[in-house]
Amino acid sequence: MMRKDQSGVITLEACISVLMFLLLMLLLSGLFLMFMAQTVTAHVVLETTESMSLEAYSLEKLAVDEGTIGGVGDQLGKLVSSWFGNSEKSPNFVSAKKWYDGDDKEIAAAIKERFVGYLSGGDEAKADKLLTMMNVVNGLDGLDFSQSYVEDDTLHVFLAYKLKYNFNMGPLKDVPVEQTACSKLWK
Amino acid sequence: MNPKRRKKKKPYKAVNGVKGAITLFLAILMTPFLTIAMSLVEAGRYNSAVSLMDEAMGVAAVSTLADKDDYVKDRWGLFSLGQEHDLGTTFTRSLEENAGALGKSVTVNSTKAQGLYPLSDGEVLYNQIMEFSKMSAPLKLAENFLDLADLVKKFEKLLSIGNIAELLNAGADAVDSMITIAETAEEMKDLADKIAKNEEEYNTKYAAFEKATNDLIDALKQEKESSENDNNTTESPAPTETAAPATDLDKLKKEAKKARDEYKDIVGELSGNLDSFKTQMEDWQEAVESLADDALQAVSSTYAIRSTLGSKKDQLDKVDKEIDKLKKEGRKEDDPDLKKLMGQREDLEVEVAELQVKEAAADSSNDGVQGMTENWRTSFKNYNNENTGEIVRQLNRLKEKLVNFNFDTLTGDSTKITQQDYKVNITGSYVKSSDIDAFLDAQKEEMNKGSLKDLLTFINSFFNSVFKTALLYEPALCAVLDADFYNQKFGGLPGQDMSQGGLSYIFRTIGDFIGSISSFVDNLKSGKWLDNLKKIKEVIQNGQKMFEAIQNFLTGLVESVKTIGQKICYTTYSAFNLPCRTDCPGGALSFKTLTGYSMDGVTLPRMAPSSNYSLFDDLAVMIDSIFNMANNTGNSYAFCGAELEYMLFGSRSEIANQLYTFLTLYLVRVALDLVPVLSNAETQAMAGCTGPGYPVVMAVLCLVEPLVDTLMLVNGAKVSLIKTKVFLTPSGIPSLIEKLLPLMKARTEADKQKMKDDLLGVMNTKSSEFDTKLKEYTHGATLPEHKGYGWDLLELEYREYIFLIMLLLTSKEEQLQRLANLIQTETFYHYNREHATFDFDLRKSYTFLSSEVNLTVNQMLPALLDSGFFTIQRQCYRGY
Repeated sequence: MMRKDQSGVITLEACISVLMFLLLMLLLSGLFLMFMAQTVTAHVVLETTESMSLEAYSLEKLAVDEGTIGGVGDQLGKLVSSWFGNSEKSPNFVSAKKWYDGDDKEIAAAIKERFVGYLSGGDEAKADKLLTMMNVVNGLDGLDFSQSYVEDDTLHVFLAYKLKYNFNMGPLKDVPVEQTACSKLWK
Repeated sequence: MNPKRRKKKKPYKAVNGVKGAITLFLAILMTPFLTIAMSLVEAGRYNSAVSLMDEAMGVAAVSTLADKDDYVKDRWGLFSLGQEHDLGTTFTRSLEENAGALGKSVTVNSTKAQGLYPLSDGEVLYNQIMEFSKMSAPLKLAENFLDLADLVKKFEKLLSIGNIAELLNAGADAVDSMITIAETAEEMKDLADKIAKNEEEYNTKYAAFEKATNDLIDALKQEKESSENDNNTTESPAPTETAAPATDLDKLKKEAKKARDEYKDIVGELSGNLDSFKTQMEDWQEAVESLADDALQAVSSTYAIRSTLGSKKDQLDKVDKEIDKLKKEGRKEDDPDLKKLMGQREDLEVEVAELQVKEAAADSSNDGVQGMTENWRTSFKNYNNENTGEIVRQLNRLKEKLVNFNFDTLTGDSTKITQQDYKVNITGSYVKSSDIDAFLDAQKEEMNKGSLKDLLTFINSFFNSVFKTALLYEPALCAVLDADFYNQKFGGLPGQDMSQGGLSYIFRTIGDFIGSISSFVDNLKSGKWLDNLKKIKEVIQNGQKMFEAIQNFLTGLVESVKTIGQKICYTTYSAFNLPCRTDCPGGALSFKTLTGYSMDGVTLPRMAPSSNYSLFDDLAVMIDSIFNMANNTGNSYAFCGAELEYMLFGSRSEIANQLYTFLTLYLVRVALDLVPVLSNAETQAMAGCTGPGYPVVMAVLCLVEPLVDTLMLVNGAKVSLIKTKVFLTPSGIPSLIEKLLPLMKARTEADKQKMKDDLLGVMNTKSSEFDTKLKEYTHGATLPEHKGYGWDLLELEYREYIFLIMLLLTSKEEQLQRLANLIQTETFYHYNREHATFDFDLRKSYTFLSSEVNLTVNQMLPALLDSGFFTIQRQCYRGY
C-alpha cells in the first residue's frame, strides 16, 4: 500500500513524463506531416513540369490564333481540343495561349494554375485547405513560383514555401522548403 | 524514519516505491512502439522517395526526348532524338534538377541513358509513320478529292476487260490459214516450174521421137523399094545409091528406140508431176474453200455479236441520254443518281469495247479471207482438176503405148507416127508459175492497199521516236548516290540498297512486240506475201506474249486492289511527302510536303543536266540502260528531286528511277487505255481498213496511246483515269499537240518542234490535212462519232498515279526500306549543308530512351548519419 507521503507521485510523474512523450509524439507527427507535404508538392511539381513541357507541343500545333478563320489544320486542332479538353473547359490543365512566350510573372501564374490542377483538380479552395492541413504557411498563397523561368526552351519550375510545425508552442521556426524541376519544352 | 533501518530493509535502494514507474513504463513500452512506427514511416518515405524518383526520371526522360531532331520532325513528321547532344549528359542535367523536388531525401549516385528503337528499324519507322499519317493521310486524300473507294471500283471495272490475247487469236488463226495457203502456193509454184520444164522437154522429146521413128520408117520404105526394084530388073543387080544399107537401118532403129525411151521417160515424169500438181491443187483448193467456209460461218457468228453489240449500244445511248438530262438539270458529278448512271455507263462501255473488238476482228479477218479467196478463184478460174486428171490418164496410156512400141514390127509400109497418136495435149493441165506469182503479188498488194504499212510505219516511228525525246526523264535530276561513301561512313544505307525491277519482263515483251512490228514494216515493201504473213504471225505471237504478260499484271493489280486498305496510310505518306520530277521543272525544286515543310532549290542538291543526258534508240535500249544504270554508284549524298520515283524502283541512279517509273506508269496506262482505245470508233476504223493487219494495228494503238498519256503525265499534265478521247486518231492529234507542247516548258524550241513533227508523222500529214488523210485510211468511210461522258472523269496527276501504283505494287517492306534510305540521304545532306557538328545517321535516330539511376534514399532520423542505408537501382523507359 502506498504510503501517505507518496500519494500523487504517480499522477505527478505521469503529468510530466506522459506530457513529454506526448510532445515527442506530436513533434514526430508534425515531421511526418511535413514529409507528406513535401512529397505531395514534389509529386505535383514534377507532374506540373511534365505536363507543361508537353503542352507546348499542342500549343504549337493546335492553337488557333484569335481573329483568324484558320485552315483545315486549325479546324482540326479545334476539333481535337474539343474532344480532349480545351482551356475553357479545363483551364487548369489546358492553356489558352503560349504561356512560355510571356514574362516570368506570367510563367509563374501558369505554373501555379497547373499546380492547383494537379493538386486538387483545379479547386483553389480545396487546394488551400489541403495545403493548410499539411501545415503549409499561408496555404495556397504561401506557395511561391516566382523564381520559375523558361530559358533555352526549357522550363525551370522553382517552388518555395514554408512549413510550420504542428502544435508549435514556442521556439520552433517555420521550415523553408524549396523544390525544383525542369523539362525541355516540346516545341 | 530511521534511514539505516530502511537501508537494511530495502536491498534495491534505487527502487523507491512507485516513483518513476510511469516513466519506466513509457520508456519500455513506447520504445518498441515508436521503433515500429518509425520503421513504418521510414518505409513509407522510402517508397515515396522511390516513386518520386521514378517520376523525376520520367520528367528527365521526357525532357531529353523533347530534344528531338527538328529536321526529321519538320520534314518527315517523325519523332526521334536529336543527334547533336549526348543523351547521357542531357538526361543527367535534367535529372539533377528534377531530383531537387525531392529535397534531401535521395542522393543520386550515378545515371546512365541510352537510345533504343532507331528509325532505321522498319517496324519502328512503320509505327511512327502510321502515327503521323493516321490523321493526315485521310485529310490529304480528302483535300485532293481522292475518293479511294470510287477509284478502286473504277479501277476494277476497267481491268475487267476480257483476255486481249484471246482477241488476238482470231487474227492469228486467219493468218495461220493464210500462211498455209501461201506456203502451198510457193510449193505449187516450184512444181509448176518443173512441169513447165517437163512440158518443154516433152515437146522436144516428142519431136525427136517422131523424127527418129519416121526417119526409120522412111529408111525401111526405101529399103523395101530398093529390094523390089532389084527383083524386077536384073539377074546381077547393081547396088542402088538410094537404098539404105543394113548398118544404117540398125543405127536408125537404135536412134528411134533411144528417142522413144527418152520421150517415154519424159511422158512418165510429166504425168507424175501433173498428178502431184493435181493432188496439191486439190488440197490447196480444199484449204482455200474451207477457209472461205469458215469465214462464212464466222460471218454468221458475227451476226450474233453484232446483235448483242447493237443492244448494248442502245443501252449505252439510253444511259447517255439520261446522263445528258441530269446534266442539263444542273446535277453535279457527285450527284448520287448521276454517279449511278456513270457506273452503268462504265460497265456498258467495257462490254461494248469487248464486243466491238470481237466484231471488228472477225469482220476484218473475214474481209481478208474473202478477198484472198476471191483472188484465188479469179487467178485460177481456167484450171480444172478433172481435165488434169484426164490428161494424166492419157499420158499414162501414152507411156504404155510407147513401152509397147515395137520397132521390129516397123516396115516400109508402116504409117508414120503423128502427134495425134503419140502426143497428149496438156494445155490447161496446170497453173503456170507466173499465174501463181500474180496471185501472190496481188495478195501482197492487197496487204499494202489497206494502209497497213503506212499506218504501222508512222505509229512505229512515233513510238520509237518518243524514246529519243527529251521528255522521258527530267535531265536535271541526274544524281547517283555515293554508295561507297555511305558504306564507309555508316556501313551502308539503313534500308536495302538494291533496285527491284519486277516489271522488266513485261517491258521486254513490249519491246519485242514493237521490234517485230519494225521488222514487219521493213519487210512489207520488199518481202513476199508469205514472208509478210510470217512476219505478221511473229507480230501476233509477240503481241500474244505481251498481252498475256499484261493480263497477268492486271490480274495481280486486281488482286492487289483487295489489300490496299492496309496500305493507305503509309502509302499516302510516301506519295505526298516526297518530291518527284514534276516538282522540279528544269531541276528547280518547289514542293510542300505532307508535313507542311517547304522544299526549295537549296533543300536538295542541284546538278548540271548535260553531263548525264542521253537518249535511247528504242524501248529495248532504254530497258537495258535502266538496268545498266540501276546499281551504279556516284558521288551524290542525296537525290536532286526524284525521290518519289526511288520508291518504285529503288535504284541509286535518279535517271534509272525516273525511267522505270515512266515505264511502270506507262504499263498502268496500257491497262487503263485498253477499253477507250478498243471502243473508239476512229481507231476501229483505222485498224479495220488493214485487213489481216487489224489485230496488229489495234495492239499497236493500245500501246502507243498510253505512251502519249504517260508523256503528258510525267511532264505535269493531268490525265483522266477513264479516258473519253483517244489522242492518236486524226481528230485527236491536234488536241494532243495543243496539250503536250505547252508542257515542255523547260525544253528547247528544237525539242518541241521535233515532238510536233513526230506527232504529225503518225498521220504523215499536216493538221489541216487530217480529214483527207483519214479518208485515205478508211477508204472514205464515215466514222461514227465517239460519245464520251461529257467531261473527263477522275483527272489525276503524276503524283496521284504513282500513289495508286505504290498502293498496288510496292510492298510495305520495300516502301519502308526505301523511305529509310531517303530519310538518311536527305537528312544527312541537310545537316551536312548546315555544317552540323555531327553526321546524321538514321541508326542513331532513337525513338525510345532507356535510363538507369543508382540512388540512395536517406533515412529520416539518422540524418544523423552521413550515408543512407538504402541504395537502389531504378530504370525508366520513355519513348515517342
